[in-house]
Amino acid sequence: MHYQFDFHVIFRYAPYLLAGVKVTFEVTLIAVSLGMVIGLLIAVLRLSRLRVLRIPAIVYLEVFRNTPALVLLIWLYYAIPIMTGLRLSALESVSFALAASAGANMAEIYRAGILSVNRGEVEAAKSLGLTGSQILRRIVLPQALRRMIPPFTNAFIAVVLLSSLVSVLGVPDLTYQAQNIAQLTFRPIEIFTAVAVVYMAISYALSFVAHRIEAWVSERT
Amino acid sequence: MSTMGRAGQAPMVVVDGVRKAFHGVTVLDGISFEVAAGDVVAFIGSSGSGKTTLLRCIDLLEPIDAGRIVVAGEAMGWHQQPDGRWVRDSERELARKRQHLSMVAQGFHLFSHMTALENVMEGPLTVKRLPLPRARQLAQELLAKVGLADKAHARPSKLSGGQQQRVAIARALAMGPEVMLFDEPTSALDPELAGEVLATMRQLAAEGHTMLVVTHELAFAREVADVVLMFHEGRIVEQGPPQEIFTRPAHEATRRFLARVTGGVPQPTGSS
Ligand SMILES: Nc1ncnc2c1ncn2[C@@H]1O[C@H](COP(=O)(O)OP(=O)(O)O)[C@@H](O)[C@H]1O
Ligand SMILES: [Mg+2]
Repeated sequence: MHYQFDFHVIFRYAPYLLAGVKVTFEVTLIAVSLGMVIGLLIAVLRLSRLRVLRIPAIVYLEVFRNTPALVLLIWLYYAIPIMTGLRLSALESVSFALAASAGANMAEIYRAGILSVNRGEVEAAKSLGLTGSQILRRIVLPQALRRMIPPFTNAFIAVVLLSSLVSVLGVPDLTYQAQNIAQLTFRPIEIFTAVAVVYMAISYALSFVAHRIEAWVSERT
Repeated sequence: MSTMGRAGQAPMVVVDGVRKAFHGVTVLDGISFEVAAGDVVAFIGSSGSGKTTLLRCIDLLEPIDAGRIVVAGEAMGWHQQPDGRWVRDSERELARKRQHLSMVAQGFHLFSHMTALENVMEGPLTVKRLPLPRARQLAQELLAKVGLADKAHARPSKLSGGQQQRVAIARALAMGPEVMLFDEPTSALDPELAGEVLATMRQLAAEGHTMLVVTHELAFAREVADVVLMFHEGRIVEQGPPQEIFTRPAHEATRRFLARVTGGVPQPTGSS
């Protein structure tokens, strides 16, 4: 093997990589928080007794389950500004597109969580006179959310990793910056080794925090 | 019929020609009876005869196919518009009307993420919008009433079945319902634990609560119920004071049911 590793390039271009990490964080945070709202909405529609509400949710879920994330991301990137009429930056567009895809995953997590709550408790609440939204807020979600922490963590990590796809659309995230630097320096192996380590570190940090939250919650109940 | 006749007072509960089918199978086949305020009615009958379904229909947890249910003077599930047309209640309207009634179910179904106290406070806080200190005080009083003042901060999973059921009764009482519905409240409990729940229910009956109780506890029914209604295949085949039903059952289904529940031993006559 004649290849000479030179990891110095990483330090030389560290500021560019860090700027990329910042964009990755931004995209991920927007996508996750918006995805949680979309997911809850889709899950509630999906569980509705009314067909007219249930069917759009099912269509939404089927589309996302049966198409490649990258294809959808590109499609939504162009479609969201046209459909909403909003003038969006590239970063906003891809974040919303990722949120739409994350929302589909999260809807399934919410749905499983909601269904895991004892039907008898829901009926007891109904019998007391709580309305549907009060039951969701007071009885179902507090119990479901606890059980949803582990799958939510996985979904969160999945968004971090999927966010690398936005590089294809020219959004300067960690992966995009890495590609540019690699082309400039002819050091793709060193650069992408470092990038992989950064993604792993973010994922592990998230798991760690989630475990702590889970422990804290179960201690208090 | 049944327990009317307290000096011309309107009955607290009217069930009139109620029918209900699940997937084409008739479960309630024309049920009619009335309950006066303050009366205790016991529903007996073998499993599958429609007792739970009737309670759920009265509590608006299941829609009925035909007939009419009136509780505290209000038609349940329907309301009349100014132009005289009857229309189905909205979800919000159903939630409001359910406040006339409180159900205590076989399986307790306490909110598992809340303490006993929080369980009892939930209705007053969220539905009646009582201020927190008032709701807490009410809940504490009710837990004391069912003998569980010292368990206020326990989670349901730390309580025995009998204690859980008594919390469920306190939770139902907290809404100040006009009618209490009990669906085999002791059938999931050991006889020992059933005793403490039955004692609480005796007390409620003595205080004048209107109660509709599905039960296989014949001694309890005999002592507390004003009227016993015998269910068989979705109909009421026999009704009357417990003494009469238990000692001189007229219908073959009643005789068979009583023989099964009492293990074939004839019930002693006379009161307890
Ligand atoms: N949600 C439901 N869907 C279909 N069938 C039901 C449902 N609830 C009750 N049933 C049927 O209705 C009949 C009466 O049940 P139930 O009211 O529980 O009787 P009981 O309480 O007297 O044992 C049974 O045959 C039961 O299987
Ligand atoms: Mg039953």
